[in-house]
Amino acid sequence: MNILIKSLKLILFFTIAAAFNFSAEGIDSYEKWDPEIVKIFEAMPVQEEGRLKPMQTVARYKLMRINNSKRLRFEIGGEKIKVSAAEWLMDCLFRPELAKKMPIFKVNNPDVVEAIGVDPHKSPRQRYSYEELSDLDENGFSDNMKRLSERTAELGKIMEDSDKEEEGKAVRRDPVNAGLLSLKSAVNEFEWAVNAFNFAREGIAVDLGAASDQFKKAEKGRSKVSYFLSEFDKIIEMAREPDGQDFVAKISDAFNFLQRDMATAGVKDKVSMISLAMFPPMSDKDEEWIKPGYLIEQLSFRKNELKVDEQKKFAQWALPKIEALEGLTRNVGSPGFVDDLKALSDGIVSKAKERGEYKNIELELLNNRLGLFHWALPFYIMAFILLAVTWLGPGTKVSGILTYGVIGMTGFATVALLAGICFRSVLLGRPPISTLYETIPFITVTAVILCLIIEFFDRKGIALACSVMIGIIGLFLAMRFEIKEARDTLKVLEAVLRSNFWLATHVIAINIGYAAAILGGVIAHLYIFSCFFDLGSKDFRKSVTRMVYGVTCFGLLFALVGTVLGGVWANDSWGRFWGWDPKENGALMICIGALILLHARMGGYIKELGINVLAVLILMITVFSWWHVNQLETGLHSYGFTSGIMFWLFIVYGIESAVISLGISCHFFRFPQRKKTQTAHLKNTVFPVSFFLLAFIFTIVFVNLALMNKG
Amino acid sequence: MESRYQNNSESEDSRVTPKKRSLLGAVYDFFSGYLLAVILLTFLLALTYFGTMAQVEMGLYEASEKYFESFFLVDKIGSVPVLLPGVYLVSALLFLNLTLGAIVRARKSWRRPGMLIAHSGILYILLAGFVAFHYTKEGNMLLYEPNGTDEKHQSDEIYSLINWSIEVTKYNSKDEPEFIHVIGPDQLSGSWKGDGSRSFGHEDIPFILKVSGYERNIANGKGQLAGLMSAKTAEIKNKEDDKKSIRVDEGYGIESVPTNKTMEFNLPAAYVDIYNKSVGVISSALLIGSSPPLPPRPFTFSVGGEKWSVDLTRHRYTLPFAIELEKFQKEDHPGTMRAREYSSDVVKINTGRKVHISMNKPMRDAGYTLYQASWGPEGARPGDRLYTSLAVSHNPADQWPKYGTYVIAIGMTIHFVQKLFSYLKRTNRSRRREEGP
Repeated sequence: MNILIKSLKLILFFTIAAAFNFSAEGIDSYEKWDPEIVKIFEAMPVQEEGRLKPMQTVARYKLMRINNSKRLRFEIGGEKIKVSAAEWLMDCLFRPELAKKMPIFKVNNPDVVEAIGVDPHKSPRQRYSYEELSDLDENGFSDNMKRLSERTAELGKIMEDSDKEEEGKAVRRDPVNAGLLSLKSAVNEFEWAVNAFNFAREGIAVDLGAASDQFKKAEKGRSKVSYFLSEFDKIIEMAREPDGQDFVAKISDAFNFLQRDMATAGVKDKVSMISLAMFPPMSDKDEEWIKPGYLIEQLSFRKNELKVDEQKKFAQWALPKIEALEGLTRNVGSPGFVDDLKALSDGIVSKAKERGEYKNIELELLNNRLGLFHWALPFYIMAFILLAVTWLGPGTKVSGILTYGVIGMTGFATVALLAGICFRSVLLGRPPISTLYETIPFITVTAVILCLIIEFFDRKGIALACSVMIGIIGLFLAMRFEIKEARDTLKVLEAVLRSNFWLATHVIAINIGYAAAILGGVIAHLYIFSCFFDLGSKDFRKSVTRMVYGVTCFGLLFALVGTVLGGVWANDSWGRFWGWDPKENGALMICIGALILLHARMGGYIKELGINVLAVLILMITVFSWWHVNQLETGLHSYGFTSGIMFWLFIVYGIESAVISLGISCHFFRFPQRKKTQTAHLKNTVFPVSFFLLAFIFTIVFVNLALMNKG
Repeated sequence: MESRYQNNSESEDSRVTPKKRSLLGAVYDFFSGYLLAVILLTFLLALTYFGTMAQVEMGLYEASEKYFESFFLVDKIGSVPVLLPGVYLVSALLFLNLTLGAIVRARKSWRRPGMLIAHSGILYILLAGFVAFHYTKEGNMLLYEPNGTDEKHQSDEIYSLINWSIEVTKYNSKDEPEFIHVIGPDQLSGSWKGDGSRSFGHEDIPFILKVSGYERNIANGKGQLAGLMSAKTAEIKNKEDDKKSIRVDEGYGIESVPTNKTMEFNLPAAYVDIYNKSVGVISSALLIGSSPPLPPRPFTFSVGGEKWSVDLTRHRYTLPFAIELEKFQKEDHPGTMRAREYSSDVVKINTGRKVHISMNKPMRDAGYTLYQASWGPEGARPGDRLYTSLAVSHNPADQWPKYGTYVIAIGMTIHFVQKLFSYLKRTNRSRRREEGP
């Protein structure tokens, strides 16, 4: 029970640590945005990674890539400030100077900031602001940022060179290098955000009126981009005149500024995922939404691509959009801002509605607001705490009542989880699993529901305990994975995956198989611990084994059918039924593991203990198949590659090998019953000690492997 | 409470360890027994694991050859070489074990048909694997978008992505191929022992073709001919290393480059000598593999006033019917480079049958299956003429695994549902007994 209390303390510690606030240096005041403004901004549709989504979603993942969290917290003079992702993105776009002061960059390794010449904070959890990292001089240059760019460019070169594969891997593994690379991409993301609307806010640092009196005088030496673009033909004409050289010399800077700001605001290049495709396209036939930079490009440098009448039409359509952004960025803080934003947003939203693209935006906003997956986790944790309390006084009336509480909370969390999965399914109009991320909640909910069904029949509380634990582990994993990837988890699919029939059959079947295999392994732990520590009755062990056996049979049915169905799918898409692809092999290995268990049992080669030990082995195989093969970076199932989780994989292997060793050692000193003889002494001390050693060695080996793979 | 668990294993035990039997009987028992099943499955598990991990270093093709298509293999565990059975052998034995144990020897009862059905399904799939492995013909077909001037949008020819052959062609007076002799992949594979040369002749060919220095691959992963060197480099290399004697032909020499993990990227090369017993060597050349969509680069020469050529090409087959591409469509997700869909509208020329081939929707005709595999050329700009690449396979067991899956699913569902019901009945009974007076 002590262990239990300790682990509870640990969970509490982490929960509190996660909510810890950080005092910020450099920022002395923060004025909150009007909630009405935030509401309008959040709901504006943006196309990103091939999908139309609310600005809120875009902002959340942008912030997560920099800050590892979907919201921002800091302290000013003892006052705690919470900033949502959308508010932060508004700060970047409309109040860039303030945004640069906000502590958002998360750098865990102090050597990384030191490498670019910044004094590290005392606590690695304390964030850095952009101002602090860049440390600009009077001319607006930053040595730190230059160092960062140079270092990462060098690393990038090594990693891209296919002749230096080993060296490239070493670069990725080095913690400082890896840290620098991720800091660089965070800085890029941030720099884009604060510069995206530069063109609108600052205009061009050239006074057209001073260059020629044919043009209007600029304010403070700067011409508005919209004015520059509307007069573009005239400007070119003047430059072409015989005595135009003087004029050209006066305005040549303008073109450079324009080009730079245009690139920051984003053109139609299909590559840059960083800028906001926020305007619906002019033609209803086009699917691709427009980034502001494209408007500038098409009104200036690439104007000639269009015929004269098309040019006119395009200008009529595009100029008001640029003017709207100009009005907006120059109106920040004034009462008119909300109306300007509303007008801009209304135009975009009504067009999106007309195109039939808006209805999922509202649903996604609702989904974001509900945060169903995040709701489920605390309920599972509360259920776990209640469950722990019932273990203090088993069989009493109070514990009976509390058990209903546990069931209620688990049920509620599970319903939330299921609802979340359904939400995503509806949003994307496809079956619930198609990315690696989506397998996590699905497998979790399947395993939990299986547990609850078993509990319904068995009513010994064993399966209920497993369900709560699986719920916590699964959701925690999902959360960590989302933060690690920091990419929108609602993804559009590649051509080969776009088959709802196969996603609904093969993928679902195989994941139910995974869930059952994992559940079997988890339950088997109870048997092994009960055996090794001599806890629990014979009846308890018998029920556990029966559950493991039943779950394995169930899992085999789904894993086998799912695997073969995968082959049938592959036969229709790649032209072969079986190609020994790593992911296929992983699934096959689970099936073979389960078949070994069933046949060895039928043949009488294993009894209760053997079944449970094999079930843990199948759990390890499942972890291998689910996560490890995606690390191999080979094979056709390339839509699931991830990196940087080898460390945790080896930790899991280490723990599970130790559990298996414990199980095997039980065979020698728990069965048959201890006898007070010489041989019994051998069995009771020498064997356990040697198996303990074995388990220890296994664990050390895997921990070492894990450390080797860290980073 | 009597556990059915023990019941079960006891009854199975008695089956595995029968009373005294003849030697033949014992052999039969072994081959139809659970022990062999467990051993084979364990091997299969280990081999699948090794074969998967080996792909990281060796690539899929070579790892498959070593682990999955072999009878035996030697693998180093740590630094100790261990002889292991290959998956081919294990699967064959498993097939035998399944047939004897689960079909012939198993109790057959109409009340418990599940396992019999499921095991038949597995047998069927294993058989399908065997047939597919031995009798599948595979290749790719390139079809350009029609442009109204050339015939590149029609074809009945498929080429292998893995196998290469040497084609010897005789031309008529109009420069049209009159006769083609193919030195197939079988004749080029294996190790080139002795002086590393093989000679090929044919009754209709007035010369002998001596192929030497055959290298399986001279290209690196970037598509550069890393194994090709100038005469000067070859000379320096030969001087540096006494054992080396790189031959130079047509101003170039070759040396082997480690094979790429993706077999399609490998490009073979070889020296050829055309000679005649009476005249001696007529001509010599360096052949470098040529592969669609690039045009072939045959080496031409004349013998006895007739024009001939030799070429090292991807092994080609002819389909029994020709296909014409009407339209190729490629669609990305808006604003990304991620393919949403690509598809080819084709017509089978002799019957006029129109088919829309897309990802996951192949065309099946006359025992052949045509899949949307990819498209090209890589990095094409808008307006460029695209081609579609269709994978073609001829597999007599094409649909067998699908039917096998249905059989397995039905069998296992029957079995496990029956087991679940009997378990529930039992627990109900025992509960009633406990609650009863």
